[in-house]
Amino acid sequence: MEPATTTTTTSTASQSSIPAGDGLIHVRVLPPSKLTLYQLNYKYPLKLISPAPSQWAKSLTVFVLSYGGGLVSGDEVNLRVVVESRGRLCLQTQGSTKIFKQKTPSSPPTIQRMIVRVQPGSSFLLLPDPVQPFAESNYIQHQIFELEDITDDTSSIVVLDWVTEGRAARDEHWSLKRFESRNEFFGVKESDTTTTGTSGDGGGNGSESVRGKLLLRDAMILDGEMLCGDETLRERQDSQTIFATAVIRGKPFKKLIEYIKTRYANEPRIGQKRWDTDDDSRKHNRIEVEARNNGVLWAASSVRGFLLVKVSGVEMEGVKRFVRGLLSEVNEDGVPRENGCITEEFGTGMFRCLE
Amino acid sequence: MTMEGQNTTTTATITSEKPEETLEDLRSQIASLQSQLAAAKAQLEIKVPSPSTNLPPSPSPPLHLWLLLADSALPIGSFAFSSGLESYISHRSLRPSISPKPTPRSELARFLRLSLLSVSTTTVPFITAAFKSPSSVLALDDTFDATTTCEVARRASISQGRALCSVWDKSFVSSFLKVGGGGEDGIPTHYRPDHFGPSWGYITRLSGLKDTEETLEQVVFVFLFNHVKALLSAAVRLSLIGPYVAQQILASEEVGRLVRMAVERGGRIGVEEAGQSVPTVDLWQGRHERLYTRIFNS
Repeated sequence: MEPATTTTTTSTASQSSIPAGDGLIHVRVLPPSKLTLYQLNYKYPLKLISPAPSQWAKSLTVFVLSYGGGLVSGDEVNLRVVVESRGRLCLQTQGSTKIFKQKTPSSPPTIQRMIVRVQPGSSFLLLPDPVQPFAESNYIQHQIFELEDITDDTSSIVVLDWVTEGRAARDEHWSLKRFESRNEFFGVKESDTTTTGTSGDGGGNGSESVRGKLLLRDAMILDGEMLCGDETLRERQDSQTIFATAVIRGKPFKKLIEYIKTRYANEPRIGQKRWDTDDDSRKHNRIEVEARNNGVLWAASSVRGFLLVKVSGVEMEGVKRFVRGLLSEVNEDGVPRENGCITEEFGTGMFRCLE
Repeated sequence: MTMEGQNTTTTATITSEKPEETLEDLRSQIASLQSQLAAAKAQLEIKVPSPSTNLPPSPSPPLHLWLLLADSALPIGSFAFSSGLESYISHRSLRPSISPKPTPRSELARFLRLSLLSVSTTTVPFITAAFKSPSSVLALDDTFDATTTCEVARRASISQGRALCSVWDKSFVSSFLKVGGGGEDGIPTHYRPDHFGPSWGYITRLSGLKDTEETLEQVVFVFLFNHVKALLSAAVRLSLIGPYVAQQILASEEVGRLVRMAVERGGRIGVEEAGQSVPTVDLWQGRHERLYTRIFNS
């Protein structure tokens, strides 16, 4: 620990001693303010890559990858993340997470679990590419965020979770078997040590009985095998090909939260004559009009200390552009705010998955 | 008064322990239930007229209770909510026209199915849990609050849940409270959950319904059937259908089947597995606030 260099303590020994699919990312700040990856372990099929940060980087970035760019049935990923006080960590992916079809009806589902501990004064950003469940895939995703400081709101997070209809080019439109995504946010005390920094501890099974107070749970369950009336899942999704949820909390993102709330409040009203030709339309944000033209639907809710944004759309690019616009706080002409919260907190290059 | 109450409670417990299907037994059971009621009222220090013993047998308590809870005049304000229907219809008209153009009735039928599916995976698990373990209803209520992420849906749920609790306190408690008060079942009677689902499960349990599979199904069935009624009533006021068609839909075999399916589906889902199964419902409902004109609160 003495040398103040950005190194990892990863060793081949600890790599082999952890179960398949497990991973651990532990961010620590060494005095005076050196961000380090104190630990970075992973085992197949999970792969973690951390590009060496530039000297003045505001945050560390880790790419969460899977070998072959996708997960097959039976794959189980358990990732633990600890961001210590004053730490800044951004998790990204390099391309969508492909979920391959379940081999046989009795094969186990594909599972991804992640437990993130966010200590007081630290920030965590999760901006992955969307999950892309292929036809007949069976996927369970469970992400738990443990916030240590909810009194002063200094355990800060921006989390994006999104899913697409599958491989449209292969005529896959929500042809999955089952998709389940759960994001849970807990207020925890420092002493609730469900997460420890020791290596080999990566296997969170997400079933610990006591985990502090449940603050927010966002769960989406898509059942492709069920018919509702005679409607298939695809029909129920109402030509939306992508659903995104963003959850934001914490002091550093106060301005971002205000920005999104204001934009939602200024959304053109539905059913107000024809909003795009109306004289009134000049008052409306150009980007809102564009969003509507691109078939983007969105809603923002302030719930129990969080801002939760739901976005859906008929095509990927429109939704990407829209979410990028929201998170980078673009003005009416679509130009990002110079010192937008996310850039201010984490540095540049955070929106890779949205480009 | 108090002493008498205590005595009759004891006899009541003894008689109700050996239920036989004879008329005589039924009568004595009714009598004992009435005295039990008097005892409960006495405990609440509410003055009640002494029950006359020569009344004809009243309908069994569940029927009486169901008629009250399924009454559209139940003052919990369900008429003020469309559960996203109003927003759904407004959004549908913005869509590029498809042929054949769906009729208002078919749009309504579709929304009804989606809404029932959504409620069955989000709310029903909490009704079930609150009914089964009424002593943990406040924790369930808090979990439901954390899980209901749509602001508009939250307001609708809280408004109806609180109203149901006040109807209970102001109107039903004197007649229906059959449990708790330090009784053997030990169900606390003083909790007042905020949300509609948890309070529905809790209040029906407080009304003395037994914790059996069959009763629980009825509890959920009435809740969901009420939901359908509220949607249809909203549809009439949105001029999607007329009142006769509304009744026709309500009476249809399909609605019965949809509600039963929703009961069955929701019954299989635990509180921890609950979640939104129709993501567009959250968007429509969330965007209700953005309607230029609106009749309903949700």
